[in-house]
Amino acid sequence: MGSLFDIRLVFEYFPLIFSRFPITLLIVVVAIGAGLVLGLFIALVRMRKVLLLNQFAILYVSFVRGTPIIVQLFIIYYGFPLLLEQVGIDITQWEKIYFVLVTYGLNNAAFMSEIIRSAISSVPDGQREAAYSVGLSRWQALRRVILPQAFLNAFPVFGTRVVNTFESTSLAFTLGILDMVGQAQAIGSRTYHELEGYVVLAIIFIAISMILEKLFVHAEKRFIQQRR
Amino acid sequence: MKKRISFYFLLTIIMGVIALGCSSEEASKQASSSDANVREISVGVGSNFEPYAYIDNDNQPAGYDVAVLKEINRRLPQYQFKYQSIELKNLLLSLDAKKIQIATQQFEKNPDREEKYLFTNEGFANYDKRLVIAKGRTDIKTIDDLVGKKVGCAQGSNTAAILEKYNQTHQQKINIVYVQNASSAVYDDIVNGRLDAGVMTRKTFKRNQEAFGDGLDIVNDSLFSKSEAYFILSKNETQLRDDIDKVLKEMKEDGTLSKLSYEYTNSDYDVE
Repeated sequence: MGSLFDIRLVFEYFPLIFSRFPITLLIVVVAIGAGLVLGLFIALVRMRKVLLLNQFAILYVSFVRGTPIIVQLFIIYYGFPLLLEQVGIDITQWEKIYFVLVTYGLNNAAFMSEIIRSAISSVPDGQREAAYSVGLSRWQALRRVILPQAFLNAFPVFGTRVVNTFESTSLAFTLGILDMVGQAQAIGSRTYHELEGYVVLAIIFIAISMILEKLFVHAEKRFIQQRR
Repeated sequence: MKKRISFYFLLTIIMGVIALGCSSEEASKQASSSDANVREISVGVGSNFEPYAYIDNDNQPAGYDVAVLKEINRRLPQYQFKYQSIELKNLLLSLDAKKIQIATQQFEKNPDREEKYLFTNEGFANYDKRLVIAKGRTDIKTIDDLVGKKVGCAQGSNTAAILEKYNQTHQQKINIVYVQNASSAVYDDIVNGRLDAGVMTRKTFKRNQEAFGDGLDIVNDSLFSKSEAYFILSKNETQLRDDIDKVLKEMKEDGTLSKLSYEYTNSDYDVE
């Protein structure tokens, strides 16, 4: 006691803070998974220009991309239940984590849809025409010719998105989720030593971001090799 | 080979996620299986104000505020209090959004708050606050000396409300700096001169001095504000408020509140 920074506490806090890693991982995995499925749907809606849905998708994507995720968290967690209450559905007492998962999932869907859309349109039109000319159906052309090429184009951006999502989970604690950041703050205010917790966080976030980046670069190389 | 490794890696992640989901489901089931006559009350507890409202080693809300509420709940079997930790600046918002019915982190009364929320009539801790400055400074004695100076306070706190009110009613303004409710940051900022002053109770001041060193001074000549800490409730919870008031009175009379106060803050609930 009696100092602002104590290096020994960094080691003491490390296991405590890292023990909350599963929460962070849960948010990332659900967000990316839901984001991919919903994002593919939105991307298809926008590319086929489905009436009404297309306009709605444009609005949705620009809203999500144009507002900070913390604003989205607050709207979903505090605002949305009040809206539902008007029609007689009470979800105010649901666990916080569900609201967080929904927010991060919806947020990622918007970004993913843009990634997928740009990747698909990056495949030259000639590829599609060639596929049709050998007698492939629309779905077959998409699955066997377009998507494999689009996937390769999208992969690096997708990797960046995963790392981004991982870092942005650090905002979930503002709702009181005890993820790694929440845990660091909790320990900090309990022991009056906050700085050490943030040092631990920095180490963990840098390490995991680096591992993720390495994994994605490695995977990308393998995909390219496989195609040759 | 590598494919297999990545497959197992994915499998572990998925299993982990499922396990996590199940365990949280079980927990919520246990909570809801209680008696039907007992009314469940959600309590929001501040997350970063040791020793009053913080998160303990087992990730549960803890502190003096929680201990008092638990004792109140023990004497009011018709309610079942459920606690969750929420940051100070989101506590009142959570009341607005009906996420919780009671909020606590040493809340003081002020007119704006009283208009929107219900306060218990009985306080449960003295909350007289004083100005805190770097050791050796003598230029700051009262709130008027703060004009043009940088003063740190937590967003949503009563200190912030008082300082904002001062700026509304005076020509010369105080430079209000909102800080995360992090005591080490405030301590550090005052000692290093990034802030000219802070506002604390005597108890919090002592706790800071013990934790970080002896770098601060407290203004003994005058009080910054005189008040008590109360529980704060949604506007429509008058019945609950009256029940809590009755029990708090009992606890003051039979010495339970004093006992709890000594246990958590090393002093009685009604002394500064």
